[in-house]
Amino acid sequence: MKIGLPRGLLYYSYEPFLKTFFEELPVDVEISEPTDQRILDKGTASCIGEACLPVKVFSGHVESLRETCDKVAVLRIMNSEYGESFCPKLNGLPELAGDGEDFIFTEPVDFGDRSALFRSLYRPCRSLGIRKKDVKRAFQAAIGAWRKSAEGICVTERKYRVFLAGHSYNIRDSFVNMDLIRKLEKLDIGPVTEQAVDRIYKEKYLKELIKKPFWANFISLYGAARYLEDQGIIDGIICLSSVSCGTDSVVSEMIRENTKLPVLVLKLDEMTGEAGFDTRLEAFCEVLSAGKCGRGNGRENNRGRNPESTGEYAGRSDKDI
Amino acid sequence: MGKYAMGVDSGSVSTDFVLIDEKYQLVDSLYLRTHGDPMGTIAQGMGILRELYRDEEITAVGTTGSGRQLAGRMLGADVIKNEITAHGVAAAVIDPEVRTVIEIGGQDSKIILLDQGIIRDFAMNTVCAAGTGAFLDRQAERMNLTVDEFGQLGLNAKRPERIAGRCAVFAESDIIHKQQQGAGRADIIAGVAEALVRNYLSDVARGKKIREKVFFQGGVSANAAIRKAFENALGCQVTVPRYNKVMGAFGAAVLASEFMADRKTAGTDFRGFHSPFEEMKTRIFCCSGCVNHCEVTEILSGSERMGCLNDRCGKYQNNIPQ
Repeated sequence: MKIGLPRGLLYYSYEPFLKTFFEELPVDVEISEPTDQRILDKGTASCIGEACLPVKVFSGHVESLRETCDKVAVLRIMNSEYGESFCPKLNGLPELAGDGEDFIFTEPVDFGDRSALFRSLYRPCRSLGIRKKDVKRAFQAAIGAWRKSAEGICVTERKYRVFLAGHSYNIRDSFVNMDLIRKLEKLDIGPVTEQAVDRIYKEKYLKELIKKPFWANFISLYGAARYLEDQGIIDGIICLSSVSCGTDSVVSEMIRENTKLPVLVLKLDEMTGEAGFDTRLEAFCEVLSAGKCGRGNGRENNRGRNPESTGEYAGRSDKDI
Repeated sequence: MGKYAMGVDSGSVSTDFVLIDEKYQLVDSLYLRTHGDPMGTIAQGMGILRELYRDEEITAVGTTGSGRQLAGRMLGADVIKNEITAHGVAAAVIDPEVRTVIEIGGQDSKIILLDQGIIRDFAMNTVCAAGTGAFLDRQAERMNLTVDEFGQLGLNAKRPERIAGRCAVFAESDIIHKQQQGAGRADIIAGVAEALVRNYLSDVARGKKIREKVFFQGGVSANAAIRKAFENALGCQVTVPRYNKVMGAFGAAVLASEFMADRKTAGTDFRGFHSPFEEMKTRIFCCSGCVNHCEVTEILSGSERMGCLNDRCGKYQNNIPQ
């Protein structure tokens, strides 16, 4: 018996927990390789057209695991460890990600309730004939690994610092985000993600809103953005958002409206060309540099000297040639 | 003998060349249709400019536009800059009072917000290219008009038709439908202009505060009907600056000139007008180094490799024989 664990969607948020749990079980486990073109092609072929890019990518991971595994673990994650809700697509993942014949671990999973979490993971294990003792041991190890882990990115020793707002599965999948982290590095921009900000600080800033937001990622991203801005830690914000993602579109608008820093919204889609992506990043870097120097490298002294009174515009065009 | 900075904007629809002097005055400009052959068009442009200028007169070269990397490698540019910065800088040089730049080109549209000549915010159209130059080109062609006639005719509209602007495909079927209902060409063109502006304001400029003075530039700004539709929608004056069609190249020239002024040492990297541009060609090959199978573009002059583009890992890009 070999179980496949797809490297997609919330795997990135709960990697220490999930990886440890499955690896500690007395069965063979295979975690799919990082996303590449082959996996994306499989995903777009097998997934419904309306799904967002991350769901398509996830389907691709499922498809590629099917080649080598007997069962694929497609978890139905309902709530975060704080009891907040995830996107309905994540709640319905076993139905979305393919025909589901060989899916396992499809029971509702609630990270906010420790004993329910255990039960939802134990039942599928029992059906595989794994003893409760072994499941318990794996679960304890997973909880331990989860507690110790500090995921996320926090690069501060760069010329500019930006808050990189987005789902972990977009930020940490360098194929999907066209190697954003490396591109930022080349531009001397240090990214900071929401995991770098403690929960209590995030909650403080949610009080500014008329009601507590519903979605888990809204809460963590908005709170972190406002905290980092208030503390003067960052020079700007980059929102990494999937096309057609409901929560992303609301979060990026709310951040844009409620912060005074420059905000860049980068949309990810399987059709996105790298050229447009690079253009936006480069231009955003210029905006950051203008903000930092206050008056943009003194360049404007040079400009404006250009009198309007010059002669006719003597342009040529291919018509004249 | 003059001392000029050259800017080249390699775009999807046109390739523009601009020469400016040390006071950022435009000396010469060239607007060529790209016709899907960016390298050939650059070679053509160089062929024209070499008759008029000598290599020693060029002190700086900057490239911009979606083909900026290719153009930069071909020409030996000192500065390769994104088109948002180029357009913003160009507008600020012409008029430091500009606060908003609306730029609509062949394939994309942008809004650039400036404050005291510095770019503070910007946005670019996302996946869809509805309502950009390429779409207008096609509609003009369908009506058997040149792009200029198309815009002029739109000014005569009495009652603009309502056209769906969200998607170029739907817009086109809407236009055909309205034509079959007997609507006049002028009214349809004005309707297309209004739809384009509506789409621009709700998509590209969404959430951005448009402040006066407003500049309208890029290839589409030559279209009088669109400018009028912008003025109606914004309720303020929209200025089409001089050099409106070659602003990107103008900005690239300014940036190159500024860069060289800072660099002081060594001269420009420009290869010279007489480089064998006509003999340069590209070869696209599929790298099999990993599963990504990047389609790498190799720029060749004869059999010598001048540079590579489009590899995700940078293996080829960073391995240019100097």
